[in-house]
Amino acid sequence: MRGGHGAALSALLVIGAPHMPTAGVSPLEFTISAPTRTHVGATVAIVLRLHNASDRPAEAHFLGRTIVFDIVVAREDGAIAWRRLEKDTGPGILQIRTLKPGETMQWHDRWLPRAPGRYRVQGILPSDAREPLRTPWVGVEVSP
Amino acid sequence: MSRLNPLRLIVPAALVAVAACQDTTSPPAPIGARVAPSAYAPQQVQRWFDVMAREGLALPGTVLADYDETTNQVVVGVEHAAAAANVHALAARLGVPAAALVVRQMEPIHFAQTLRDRVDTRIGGIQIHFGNFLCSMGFNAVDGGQPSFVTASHCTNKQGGVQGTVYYQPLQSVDGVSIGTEVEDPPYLRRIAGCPHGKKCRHSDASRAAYNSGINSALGQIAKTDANSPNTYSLVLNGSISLSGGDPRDHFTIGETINKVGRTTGWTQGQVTATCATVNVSRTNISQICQTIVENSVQIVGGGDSGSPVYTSTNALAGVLWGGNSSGTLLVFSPLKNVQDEIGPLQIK
Repeated sequence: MRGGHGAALSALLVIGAPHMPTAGVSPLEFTISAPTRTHVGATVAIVLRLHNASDRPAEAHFLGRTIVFDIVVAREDGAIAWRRLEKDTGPGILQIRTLKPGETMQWHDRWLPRAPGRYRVQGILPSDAREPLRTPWVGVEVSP
Repeated sequence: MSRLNPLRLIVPAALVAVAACQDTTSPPAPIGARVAPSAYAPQQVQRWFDVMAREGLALPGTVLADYDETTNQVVVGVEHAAAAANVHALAARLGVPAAALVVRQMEPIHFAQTLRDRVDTRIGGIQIHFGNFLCSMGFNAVDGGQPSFVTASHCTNKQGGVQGTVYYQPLQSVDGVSIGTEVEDPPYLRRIAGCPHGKKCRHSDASRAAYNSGINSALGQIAKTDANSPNTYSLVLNGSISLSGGDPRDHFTIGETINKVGRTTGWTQGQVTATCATVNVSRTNISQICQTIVENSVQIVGGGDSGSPVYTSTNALAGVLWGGNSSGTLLVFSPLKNVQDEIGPLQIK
């Protein structure tokens, strides 16, 4: 798809199925949305959302005074094409937040594709758990 | 664990099982006579287990209840003979045959205290709480006669400058009595030697808080976990490490092994890969001058480890951890020398 990035692409957004951090226990759903198609040189808007799907407040721990989130874009062969936090060095402070029932937090960033191909995109939220929260991978097709 | 099925093992609410096989290392002799595997229907014995778990564990001195599939018996663990007598009496009252019951004396099971729990005598490496944030206590120090602890500068209400940050341990919701108040946190400045253009700098990400009166702390002690080797991420507290002193260096040797202990990843270890490096703090206008970088192929730092004490292989205090990379395989610490250059001389043991 050439040009028209923005409103035209919004119809093509793909939203990764929610990730339940500890299935059956945590009410938090972590999802990603990104356009399914774009072209080289057009920025790809990526949105991560953390949603409290329960009717009770849910406590979550986040890295950073300003919450740190990562986005990884991988080529089909698994090679990393872009990583938001690559080579970042930041403070190891932990933030405690309570999400109200139904509350959603979201984070945005943009990726600029430099080569055509099929890519996969994943969002990551570091915390104090051994494994960070990860969204499902979603696919993005980049045309020349 | 062959004799205690975790799905069928119940401990009193006041106790916590630290390991499901706690009682299998050196099985104590049963108080009651040992009996042959019972000939009752397993479903019947399980019903007796249910009732003994519900009623028996309400008795003082009981430790656990288990349905032992190998002998088809109900096992009740007790702390002492008086509790055993009460359990036998209860079983008789509930119609549980003696042949289907084993009462066994054992040690009570306690909470395994972790770096994230309340630790009454405060030592380096345990969790501290302020505002909406968690960090690790660095190390205890006396400054001008004032009992204190050092943590990261960014583990204050505002990085650089004293705002009187009030600290709790481990959480205000767990212990509402504050342990200390921020008293020293030098400002970040633009015009100091080595500071990159457009940045504000210091040589250490460290601050000092004065302990409130009545708060116990142990000078020269940092938390020791129950791990036998580093990078296992155990958070279970097992005493403390005595610091041998303070390491006076601001340049560490490339390849040197460095340790830290903190509330998120426990005792971890890596090797120095850069020394006296100026490090930009991600997405801020802050640079830290003359910092040490430690790396490993596995995770050695996580969110909440900020402030952790960093120490050498001879247990000399090397500095204060303040950051890392996103995958946690790289940590950055401010050398103790820089901390003392900015905060002033500290008695650390």
